[in-house]
Amino acid sequence: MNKVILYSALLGTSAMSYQARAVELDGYLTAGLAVHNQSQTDGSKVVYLDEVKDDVTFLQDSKFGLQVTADVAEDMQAVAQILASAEDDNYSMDIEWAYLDYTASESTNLRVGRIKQPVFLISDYLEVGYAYPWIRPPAEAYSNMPVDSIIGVQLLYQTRIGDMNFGFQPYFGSNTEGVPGQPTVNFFADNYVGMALRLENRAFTFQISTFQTDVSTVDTASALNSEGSATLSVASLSWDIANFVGYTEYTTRDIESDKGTLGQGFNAVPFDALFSDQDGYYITLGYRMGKYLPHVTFATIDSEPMAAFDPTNFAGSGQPGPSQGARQDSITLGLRYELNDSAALKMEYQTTELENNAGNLGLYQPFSSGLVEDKMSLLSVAVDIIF
Amino acid sequence: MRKIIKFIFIISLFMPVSLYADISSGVFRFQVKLAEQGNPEAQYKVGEMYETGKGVQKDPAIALTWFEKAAAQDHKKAVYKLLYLDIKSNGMNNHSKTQLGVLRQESASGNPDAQYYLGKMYAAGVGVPKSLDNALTWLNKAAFNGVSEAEHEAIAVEEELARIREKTAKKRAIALEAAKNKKAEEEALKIKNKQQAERARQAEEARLKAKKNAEAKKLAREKQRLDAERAELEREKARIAKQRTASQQKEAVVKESEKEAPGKASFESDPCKGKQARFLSTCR
Repeated sequence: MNKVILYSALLGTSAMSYQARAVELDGYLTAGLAVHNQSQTDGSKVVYLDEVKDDVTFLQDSKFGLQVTADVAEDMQAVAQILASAEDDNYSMDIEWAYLDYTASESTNLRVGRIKQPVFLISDYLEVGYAYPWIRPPAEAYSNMPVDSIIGVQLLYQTRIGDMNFGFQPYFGSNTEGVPGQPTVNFFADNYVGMALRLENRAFTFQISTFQTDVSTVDTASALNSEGSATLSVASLSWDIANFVGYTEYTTRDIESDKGTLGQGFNAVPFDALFSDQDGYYITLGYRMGKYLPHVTFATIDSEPMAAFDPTNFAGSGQPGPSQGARQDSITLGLRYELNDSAALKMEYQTTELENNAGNLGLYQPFSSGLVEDKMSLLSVAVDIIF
Repeated sequence: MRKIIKFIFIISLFMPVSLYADISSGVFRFQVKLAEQGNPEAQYKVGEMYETGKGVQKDPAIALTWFEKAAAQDHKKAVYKLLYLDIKSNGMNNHSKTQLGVLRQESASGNPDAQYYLGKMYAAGVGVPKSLDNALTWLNKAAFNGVSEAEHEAIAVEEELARIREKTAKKRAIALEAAKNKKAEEEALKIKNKQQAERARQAEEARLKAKKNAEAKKLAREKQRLDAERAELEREKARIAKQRTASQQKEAVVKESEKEAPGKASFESDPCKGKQARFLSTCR
């Protein structure tokens, strides 16, 4: 909440100092429930993503956001998006992004502040559920990047090439985030350098992006620390042809020199890696029938085994650590129904199959024992509204 | 003979005053005797003696009766005397006017007595406007023609004239000095006024100059302010035009997207079309 006040004050000051002219306020809201049927053999609950359990929860997908756009000057805008997410301390508000946009020319914008880095196809509107067909984008691909935004600078260059739009977005910055599935771990990303190239026309959107950052983690619960560098590259494609709608993305994460220690002082145990290399992939196919959009998604996440990691060092410690490779495949059947031109009802049924629960893909809270079922079914219902 | 006269003169100096009085009264008695016998000259003389008090007690009324007696016998001097006294006492009337005209004619024709009385009238301003110059002219003529009283009278007139002239000269000198002083004061005042006017003019000129400078500065500031306002207005107009253009383009995009959409409410995979475009940072 303090951050909200701080950013609001900054934006307010800059806007008001120029006699804030047009101020535009837009909002979005998602109310959704989710439940799965998985549990552990020792009776412990399986927590999928952040909040989904075998009890119905509204905390995973429910959220409320406001976007404020103010014309600071003829060629300058201040933009802030405030997000109140149910999963985050019961709707405590956070700044999703807040930046100053300077239009340097017809095709070039320069942004400074808290910016959303263009990594995936829908990174720019990840929280605006109304803008995409799913209740949430496929976790197998989107969970590979724990950092939602960075504080830094971004250049946006857009131009026309034939009948195509071409976009180029380099950026630089840093940030700190929590790690999905590991609430006690803080993730630090410094020297965050990346870029995205985008080509699109009326039917296709193609994007490739990559970034590299120095990463380090600190686990406040177990004194599990690591540092290294990560590279994430994504290739994305979407299409919309004759009511056939499709999305597909392939992402690969490469961790370099990931070294760390467990414990402190004399008892500190060194290890070579905490995070493994991962690849994620999904494809969504849908067909638009008036107000209805049924769709199906196939998604896979594959984590590489970490050969340098010796699990015997952690015997009895009860600490997580991907000593082996892991893989999850999922199939999602979804239906989107347009309630009106500002609201959509979504329903999804998903089945997931986790090949090796000893490994951690970043999708689950740490397991304490084996899984009761081989497969997990996940049911989600949500309403997305924009206003 | 001279010795006799000298002797008589010396003896007379030692004679008592009463002796002179006796002589005068003797002359008076002698003249009265002649006058009573009808001698006009004696009548005139007796009249003069009563008039002046020589040889007898002064009595103007009796003197007048004797003058009238002499004038009744056309004794010219008596006639003129009566005319003089009449005008002096009673002013001018028709009779005296006629008499004065006669007096003027006779004076002009050389009658010494007429000249004497005309001069006397001018000297005293009796019957004519007082004019010492005219009086002196006629008295000198009378004196030249043998009237001894005219000579005395002329001397008196000359003395009066001299006094008048001296007085006039003094007055003129004073007036001249006063005029000179006045002129000097006027000159000084004029110079002072001129200097004051010059100072006032210079002050006014300086004030006008300062006012003009202040107005020029004010105008310059006003112009600067207007220029700034104009520039700001132009920028505002350009911004509004740009906003309008952007708004029109946005509306066009929305209309186009609505046109392209199969239904009014259907899923739009292009996030830059439809309402969700507001949340994207890359949509143009």
